[in-house]
Amino acid sequence: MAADWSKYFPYTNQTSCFIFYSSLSKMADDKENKKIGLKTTLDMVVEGCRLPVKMSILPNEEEEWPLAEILSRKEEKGKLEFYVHYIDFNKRLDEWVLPDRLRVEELQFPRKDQKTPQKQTSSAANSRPTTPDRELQEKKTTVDRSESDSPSPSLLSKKLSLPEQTSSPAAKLGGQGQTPQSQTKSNAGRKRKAIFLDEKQDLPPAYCNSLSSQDSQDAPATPQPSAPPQQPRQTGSMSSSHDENIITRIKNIETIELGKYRIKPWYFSPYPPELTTISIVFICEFCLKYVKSRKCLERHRTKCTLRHPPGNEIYRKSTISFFEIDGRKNKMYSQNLCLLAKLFLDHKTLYYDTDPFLFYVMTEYDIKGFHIVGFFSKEKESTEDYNVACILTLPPYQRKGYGKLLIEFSYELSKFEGKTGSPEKPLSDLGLLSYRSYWSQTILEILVNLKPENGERPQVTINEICELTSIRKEDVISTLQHLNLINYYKGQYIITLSQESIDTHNRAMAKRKIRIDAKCLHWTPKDWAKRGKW
Amino acid sequence: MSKLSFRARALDASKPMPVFHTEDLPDLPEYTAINRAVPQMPTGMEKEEESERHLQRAMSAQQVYGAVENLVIPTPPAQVGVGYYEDLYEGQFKPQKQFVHVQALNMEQDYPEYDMDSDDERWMNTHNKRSSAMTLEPQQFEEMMDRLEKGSGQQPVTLQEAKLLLKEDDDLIKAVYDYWLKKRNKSPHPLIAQVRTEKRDGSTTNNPYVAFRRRTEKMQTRKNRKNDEASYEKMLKLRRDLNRAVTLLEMVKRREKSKRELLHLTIEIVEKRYQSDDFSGQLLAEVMAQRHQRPSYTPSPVPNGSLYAAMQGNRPDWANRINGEQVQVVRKKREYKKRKHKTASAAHVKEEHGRAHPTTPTYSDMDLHKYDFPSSEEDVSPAQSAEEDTDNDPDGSFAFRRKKGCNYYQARVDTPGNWPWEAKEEGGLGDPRYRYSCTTLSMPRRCVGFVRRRVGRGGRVILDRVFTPFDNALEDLDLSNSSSLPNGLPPSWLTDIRNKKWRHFRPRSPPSEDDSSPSQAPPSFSDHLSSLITFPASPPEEISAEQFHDHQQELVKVNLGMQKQQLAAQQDEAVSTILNQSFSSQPTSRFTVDSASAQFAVSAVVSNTENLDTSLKLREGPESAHNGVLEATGSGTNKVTLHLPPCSSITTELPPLPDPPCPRQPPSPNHHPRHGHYENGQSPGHPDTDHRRGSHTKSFLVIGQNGRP
Repeated sequence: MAADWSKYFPYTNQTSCFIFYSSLSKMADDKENKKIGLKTTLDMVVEGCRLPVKMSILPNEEEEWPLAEILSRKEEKGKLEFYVHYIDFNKRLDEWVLPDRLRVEELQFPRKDQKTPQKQTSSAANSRPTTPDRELQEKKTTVDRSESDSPSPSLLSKKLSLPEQTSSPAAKLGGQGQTPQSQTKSNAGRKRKAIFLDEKQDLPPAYCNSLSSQDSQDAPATPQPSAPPQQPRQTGSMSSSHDENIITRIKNIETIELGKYRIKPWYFSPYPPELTTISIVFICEFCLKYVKSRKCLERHRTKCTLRHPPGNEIYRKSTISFFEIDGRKNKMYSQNLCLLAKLFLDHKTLYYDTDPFLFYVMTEYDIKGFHIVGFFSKEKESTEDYNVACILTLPPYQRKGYGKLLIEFSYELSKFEGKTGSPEKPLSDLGLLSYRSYWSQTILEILVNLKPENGERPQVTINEICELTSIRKEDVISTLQHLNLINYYKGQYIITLSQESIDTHNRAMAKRKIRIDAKCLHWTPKDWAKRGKW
Repeated sequence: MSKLSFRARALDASKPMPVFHTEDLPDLPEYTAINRAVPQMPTGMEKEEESERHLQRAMSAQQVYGAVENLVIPTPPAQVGVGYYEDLYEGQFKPQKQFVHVQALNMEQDYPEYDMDSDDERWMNTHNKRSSAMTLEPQQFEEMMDRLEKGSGQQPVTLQEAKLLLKEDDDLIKAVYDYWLKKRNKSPHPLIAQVRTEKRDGSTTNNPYVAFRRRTEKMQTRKNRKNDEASYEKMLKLRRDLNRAVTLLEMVKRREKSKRELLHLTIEIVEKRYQSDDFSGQLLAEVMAQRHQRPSYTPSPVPNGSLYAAMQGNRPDWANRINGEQVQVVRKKREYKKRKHKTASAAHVKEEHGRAHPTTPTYSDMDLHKYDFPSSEEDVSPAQSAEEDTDNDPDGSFAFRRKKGCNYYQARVDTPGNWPWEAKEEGGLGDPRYRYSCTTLSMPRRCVGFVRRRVGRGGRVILDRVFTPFDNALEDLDLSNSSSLPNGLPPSWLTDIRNKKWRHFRPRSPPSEDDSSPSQAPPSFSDHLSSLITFPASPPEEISAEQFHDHQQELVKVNLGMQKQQLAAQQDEAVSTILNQSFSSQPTSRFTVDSASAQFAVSAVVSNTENLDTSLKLREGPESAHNGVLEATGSGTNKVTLHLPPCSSITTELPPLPDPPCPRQPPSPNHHPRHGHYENGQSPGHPDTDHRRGSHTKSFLVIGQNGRP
């Protein structure tokens, strides 16, 4: 492969060869390092290193030390901090940790064998946009080189100076060196990943640690089969691949204050960079304007008269209301909403404007006004019959059934439109769980309530289910299959309901107290194709 | 029963599937081996995220227990922790029973985007303490900061600019400006936090902080709006209608202006009268009387007002526009009639072709223009529209046009008027020259029998025919005349004609180019010529016209006036006869042959016609000139209205008029025949009556005849 690339990039051939050899020598260094493992200091813990880190957020109280990757390090007021990503955990759990949570003795240095000559060549000469196999490729390279020469004190001090340059996320805003990073990618990593994915699932975690580390490390970097273009596609709301930029892999907002809630964000969101240096971003609960201080929010509240999302209410039942907001007509609110949503949606992209979307904001009313609970956005015209682009229940309202309500509402709109629909992909983990749960309950509801006709066994077609629920056919099949409801029996497909699944369903339905009532929806679908503008 | 030997069919979404309870199918597990045939649907997640541990746990829990109750995916914390919430969101909000509905216009915020922070508050408080005279309100401060901030680009606004931006007291501006500038210079960012936006140079393509880029390409292809002809025409019609509305309003405006003017004038008059003590109204009456003596030109609606409008070069555009439209409608009708005419006579067809060719394309152009450039209506210059009108009017360049400064009276229906062709008994002048007389047309060359000449509107000559027993013979006469005169055996009355005992009227070109004529032209001919020339002039002015002519020719003939007077007296006598018919005995001017045949013809008639014949022949020599004349004559003939009075009144016993023996030939310089012809035609042109104007040439061409005894 190296030869292939050098054919296209003859001038970089020599360089890549050099890096290749230096990488080899680095591997030799690794062995040395392991020998002198006890001597390892925090200075050695640089971006790209892996080591077990004590997780702070865990559902149970068990102490867990999953393997984590150092994404960044900073020194503030003499205190060194590391931004870690726990391998095989969602990015939302990434966090800044103090050195005491690092198990430094098990430090793994960045694997040099991944820095193949091909990669270097492609990153240097090929502008093909890709996902990064690793963050900060360039920096690592420099570090690698220095290390490969000899681990002298002077070099160590050099390394120390590195974190200072990136001492705060805000300092990175300038963006110098971003572009090269963003273009580093692994082509070879994909193949490997495909193999290891299968292996890993069979192997116990402990056993395949080294393998899975390689696997998981590459996994986030896996480029989509269709390499994303320089600019993302203009339809939809999801980025089709991970943003390879290191900046977007690190949460930039520490805390937000929305209404009476203080929320820790989950992901990066492109709020104005000056807001990333402050500890709390204050957000007006009704217009979603972001300000830097409580004083500013106070001042803003004296001027902002909104007590509900600035759109038309299309649904109201008891305290739950839905507001429809046009992303073209009400740009400011839509953008603020997107910025807020991006804090909790990994794959959401804010690359393009909000014009082609409608936003359905679910609110809960109390004496203070209509408080935003969650929302979903929807393309005015979807080429792929998506009925939801992004969907989010704000963290304070999660696990209370609001997500299902949002989903139910989105399908209710589809019923009004007379279409089936599906959420835009990729789904997040929570999204998948919520949708599967909704689909299961909705389909089971139909199956359980089927009555025998003329003493015959009740029958149903998949299409009928689709029509009744507006759930897309593929999703119906996937759910039936996922629930093990569909079986091939004596030459035909049948649906089998176990008493257990019925009981579970009944229990789940008993919990769903709030339901969407179609009678309370006052809404007529618009044919946006005829309007010419979104 | 080998269950596994069958391959599972594809799942058919439209095929009914029976719903079983697992308990009813105890043998189901035996079949589950085929379940792999059920299509595996993707989860819709990113592959690498599917492997995340929490999700895997939750998914397996969901599959096992049907719910994930106890195995939630952990998320960063969110808690209720804002003690000052009540302070921030003061008051209560009670929605209406109806759904909340927002107006698009209400969405725009009209408050400053800048929010004062604690530093600002501190500064403002100290500022307010310092200068109690000008206390700053928070919102006022924010407004100022907002304007300063938004007024600045990369570079902060200067104090001068700030003064323009802010409408406050100068000291206040300076204070706030200084504070703002200090604050802004300290901060590397704009003071109003805003999401980074894209830059044109494309440097922001990969900047993760840049969001909400504009979509450069079109999102989706949508059906093109049908740009069909119908909608296009609708648009044109709409535009025309709107133009009309504008015109209407302009006219209303003019009317109102005029009314106002009238009012002011009335006031002025009253004031003037008051100043001159005209309380009895005497002065006013005098003035009014004066005014009526010289009535000013007042436009009155005429059928072809467009022509009128076209004549008024100084009229505003709107008038032309309107008239132009009306004319377009009318014109079409006329065109249609014209086409019918074409078939009427060959001569006319010829003439029609000459004119129709240039006009027809103009026509279609107009029609096209009407749709292509509806605005062209506005652009049509008066001159242009006039030209178009001329082209499209069947009367062509001879169409009637009003003249400025002329008075036009309504036609009198009660009496025929004092026309020379009317008998004196009927109030006419009874000019003998207009009596019924034997007439020969020059083109087509034939005798039309007895005919009375009249002058119609626009100077056309109208020939009223009358039945006589000689009609058949007269036709023969003219034919024989043109071919060979001596072969025929003329009856006695023919001789009379030849002897000029009968009047014989033959339209011909005027004898201006008669320089070849003998010097001893008889005075009678001069008289005849003058009458011929002045023929189109209305009879009441005959004397003056002749005088004018005389004056012109007085170098040639001195005794002309005398003979004319004498002639006039004779004519008066003749007119007194009940039937104003006289037959000229003048020989025909039908000769187009060589001088030999002319000589021969001359020999057959009275000697004193010889000169005339020669002159005529010579005059008609140049074919081009002749053709020009003929063509016009032809068109004139076409419009001859055959007016047959009661035939019984015709008698053949007509007193022969004493005829001056010799035609007079004015020795004019060596003109080109045609040129001279016109010159002569124009010389007696008395610009007094309207119907002479505008049809000058034509009338001349038709009248180019010697109808004078």
